Amino acid sequence: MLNRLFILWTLLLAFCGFLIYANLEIRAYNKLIVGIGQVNEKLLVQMKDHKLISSKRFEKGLKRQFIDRDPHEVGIDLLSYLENTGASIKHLEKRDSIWMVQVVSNNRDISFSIIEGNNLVLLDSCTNIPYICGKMDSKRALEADLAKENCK
Amino acid sequence: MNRDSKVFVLFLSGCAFFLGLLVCISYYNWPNAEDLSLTLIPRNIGLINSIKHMMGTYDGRYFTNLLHGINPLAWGFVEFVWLITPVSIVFVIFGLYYFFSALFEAKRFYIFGLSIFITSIHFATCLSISHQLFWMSSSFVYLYSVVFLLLFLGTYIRYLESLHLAPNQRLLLFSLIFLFCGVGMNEMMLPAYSIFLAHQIYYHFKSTFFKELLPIYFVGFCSIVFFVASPGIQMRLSNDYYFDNPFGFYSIKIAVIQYFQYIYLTLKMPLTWAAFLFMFFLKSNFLPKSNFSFNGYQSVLFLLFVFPFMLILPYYVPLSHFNCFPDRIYGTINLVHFVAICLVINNSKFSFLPQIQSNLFLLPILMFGLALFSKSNVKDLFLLYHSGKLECFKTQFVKRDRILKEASSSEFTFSLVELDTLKCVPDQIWIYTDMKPGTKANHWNKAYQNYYSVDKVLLKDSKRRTIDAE
Repeated sequence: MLNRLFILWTLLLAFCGFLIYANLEIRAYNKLIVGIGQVNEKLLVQMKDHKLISSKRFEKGLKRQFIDRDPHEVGIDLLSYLENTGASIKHLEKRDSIWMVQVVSNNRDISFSIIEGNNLVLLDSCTNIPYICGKMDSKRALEADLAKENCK
Repeated sequence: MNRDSKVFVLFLSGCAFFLGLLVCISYYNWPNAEDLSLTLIPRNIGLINSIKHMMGTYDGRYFTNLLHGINPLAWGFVEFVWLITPVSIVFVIFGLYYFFSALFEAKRFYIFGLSIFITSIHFATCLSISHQLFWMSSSFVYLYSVVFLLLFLGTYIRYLESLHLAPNQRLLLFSLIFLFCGVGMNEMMLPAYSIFLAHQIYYHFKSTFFKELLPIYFVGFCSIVFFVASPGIQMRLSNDYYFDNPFGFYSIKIAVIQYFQYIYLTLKMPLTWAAFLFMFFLKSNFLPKSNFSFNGYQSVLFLLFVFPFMLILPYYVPLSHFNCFPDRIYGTINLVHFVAICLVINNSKFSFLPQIQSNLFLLPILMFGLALFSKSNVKDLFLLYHSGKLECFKTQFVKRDRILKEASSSEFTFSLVELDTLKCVPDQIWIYTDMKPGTKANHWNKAYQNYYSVDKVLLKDSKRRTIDAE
């Protein structure tokens, strides 16, 4: 009898431990997303400073994307942008002041670096083309050149 | 076969006709863009990662999120998604059978028949059958959650009975599984489980087999905390309104108004009253087990009004959704109500009026007449099935599917697909969640792009020249 109860409660405590571990893991994931959202905001400011986007577009974008919104949502937006490019987040990690984002796109791994500091660029490590603020429009090549210059 | 059985078989044949109609209609059903957006996450990043992602960013429904990853759509078989509907119907009947057989002493035939009847009457009278049955990801939340509650209660009752002899470990295991799964399906069910577990702890606290029940309460408590503590649901709860009105008086007022509005709309249907009559007719065939009787006005009030009202509160108070009448949550309440009414009637001391008893054969005829000629989903769906709209609806999606799959498998570096706007949409079974015209990236356009791995999906806009024309 004691043996049965002992096994049962050991399993239940293990289950409880698993739930606590899962919750902590989910919270860490959530924090990373929020962090990315904050980095994204800085990226937009940086883009405005380097005249990659006009002040008008910046104001509009900033208001729509950041000022009126929860940073959590901004993080989700960036994540969904990455996923909408056909990619999915595999690993997120902050090393010193650099956010490392590893994604899987078309069955290949791509690493992004979101560099904090003077030059904030979301860089595709394979192509070296910056993905700026979730937009991949016709100006991408021009933006890439400008961004590369800023990275020097 | 006695007269009661003949009447009962006649009823069941009517129910079988309606359920058959639902299956036939489901064949023409097609997933909407929200189904695609929810199932592509587990497909792309894996089941466990998708649960983590959803719980970290969107909600706490861990088991519903798991179901999003184990269905034909997630496995890439879009054309087989319609099979979810017959599976759901069978699952509801099984859940009800399992629950009723734990509560009543009756022949299997009658319990099975009652389960089929409750299933049919629920689908015939619910305010939005698309949310309950035809929209896959919605039915996981609003229909399956009730079935898991019934499965848990049925197993728990059996386990309680087994404690008088020797604890049945298999029943304990299944109670724990159903409880864990049921909690992680829908916020609406949290008060139900919390109240039930709290009541059971209070009731059994001093009994000799409390320690045998403690694992169930422990797992229930852990599951509820796991759900509520997830960042996803906390983000949804942390809206400005909730902090300005922590007690949610305005929300409760709206909840009361809309709850009575739902009761009015349901009671306005003559089919509902006919269903009550039929349950009275069946009453004599069911003997409630002595341990679980629901007589007394407190039990009746609790089962019919208080308990269903508590289920809607999570929708109104913390989430503060009250812009429109929420058909979807009242679909869940409809099933709960019919089960509760069935329990109350079978425990009541009233019996059938002798005048009606002698004219029993009129009852099925009355019921079929009301189902087909008064306001009900039976009439709406029967008309829809014969309108030709369903064939048109499915043809559009089969065409879309073919074009998208061709584009996806093409060798071009950039694939752009322009699709036709939907012309035939059967509102009775399909919630309009679809792409929007224009070149701006819309959330649902992206769902199509990502599901079919196409670079860009556009919807033809009648105001501009199409690519075909160019």
